[in-house]
Amino acid sequence: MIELMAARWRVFYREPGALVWSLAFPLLAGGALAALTASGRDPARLVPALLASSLFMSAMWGIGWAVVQTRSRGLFRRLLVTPVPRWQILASFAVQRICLSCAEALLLVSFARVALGVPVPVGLAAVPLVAAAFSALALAAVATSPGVESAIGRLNAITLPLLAATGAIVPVPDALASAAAATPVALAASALAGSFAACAGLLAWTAAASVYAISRFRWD
Amino acid sequence: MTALAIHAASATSVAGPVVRAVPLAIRVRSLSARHGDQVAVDRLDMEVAAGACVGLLGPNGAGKTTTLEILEGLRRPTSGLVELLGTTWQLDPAGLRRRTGAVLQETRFQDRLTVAETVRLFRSFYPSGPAVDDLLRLVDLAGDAGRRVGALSGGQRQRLAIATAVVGDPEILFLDEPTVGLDPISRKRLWGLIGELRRRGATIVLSTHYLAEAEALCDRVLILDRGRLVAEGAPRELGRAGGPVTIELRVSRPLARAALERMPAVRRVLADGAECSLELESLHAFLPALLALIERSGAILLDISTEHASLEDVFVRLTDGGES
Repeated sequence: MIELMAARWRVFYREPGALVWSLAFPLLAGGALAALTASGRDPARLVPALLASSLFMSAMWGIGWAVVQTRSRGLFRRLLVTPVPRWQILASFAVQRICLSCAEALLLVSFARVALGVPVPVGLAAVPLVAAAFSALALAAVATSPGVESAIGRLNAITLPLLAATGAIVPVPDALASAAAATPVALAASALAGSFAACAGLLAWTAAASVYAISRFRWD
Repeated sequence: MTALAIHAASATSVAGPVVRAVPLAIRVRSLSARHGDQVAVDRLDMEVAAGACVGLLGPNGAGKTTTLEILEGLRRPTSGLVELLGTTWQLDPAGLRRRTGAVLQETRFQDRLTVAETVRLFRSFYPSGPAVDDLLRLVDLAGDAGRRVGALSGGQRQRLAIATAVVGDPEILFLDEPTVGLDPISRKRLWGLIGELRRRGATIVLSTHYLAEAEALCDRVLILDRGRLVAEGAPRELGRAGGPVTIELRVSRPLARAALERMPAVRRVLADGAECSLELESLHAFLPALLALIERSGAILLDISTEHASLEDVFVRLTDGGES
């Protein structure tokens, strides 16, 4: 597992611009936060939602793309004929994403604190759980994608409604509010705002997505 | 060298007597696999002795890769028995993963890892095996240990693939078209490496399109066509059994066509006179009669040469011209 993780990090940081752009994304979210704050929105309420959205997008596209690329190279099949357990292969994607998410979260929260004076969200400690949930969702989203084209479609179809459900981009109609609150990104925003109930909901999403990803994962 | 015995109802067998002195590494009984309505493998039987090298030959769609994938535990057969090292993928998957290695078709390792990192990664999956440095020396990549995989040539990538397949010191090694797309020099180099692995005691099953490769590396070959075993045996024996022998001879006095045609084992007289050419069923039945005819004719044999059917001839004949 250690060598698997090390290999994933090497592949990541040796890609030109990978680290820079990964860390640039939360700064872009910080820019959006500044713009929304200037338009009169409460930044203290916006930070958890923006942070959740930022981590969600990073996880979905970061893991989704890496999985599809690994699959198209035939590397999953190659790993299958070694003794390495399948769960370790999938976990290596999630663990890397959780580490990156923590760095992204610290960057966004620091920016909000220093540039806008926004207090640190009380649920910041939930970032690893949020990242784990999003990683599981990403793995589930591309579990059966045979190639890049279908993966892009699936990721778009999943990310856009779930982002909209947070209410950070557009207001959620009252009739859909309770359903929207139970979606993963909205739960993540609540968890980052300090809700324990939301953490439980995220755990349930993590478990369900993990079971789906492991049981349905296409290895070739 | 004759430890392999393979049986199939419709197969052309030139295996000779079955030898069971060497323990079996692989035993396959009535193996069948289907892709939807299409039969990929049809009631295949095979046995491979420990330490043997067996080649799977056949045109595209013959079932070579499907057979290998089943042996590698990547695919479940529709029916039949596959036993490796005395156990099965159902009984001991983890144990067999540790004891087998494979080079799959079209694996592209991560371009941004170095050669040594790639080998170290795969080495970490196995509880025991050679040191990374030793593996790199074995595959002649020690000088390229720090190079990125993306900068390697095709031949180097294939040697890297073999290094990752033998990191666990496997008892059985599966090679799916290991030299496809390589230039002749790289191919020969890889043959040397595979030969070295054989000398170290690994049982090897390889699929290939290259008949010369099978002749150079394999004790036995199985020729598959549309999922069925159509011939098996040692490459040289298959060549001998697969077609007529052509004999060309030069004599001091012309030999009459009628006399040549009456001789035993003659299939066809291609040319008569002082320079004859004949197609024979077998050489050993023909030669004594030829010498007697030459003596009776008062002629002197000046030159003689024979040509057996090659493995390629057998392959083309048995697989409808090699077309799938």
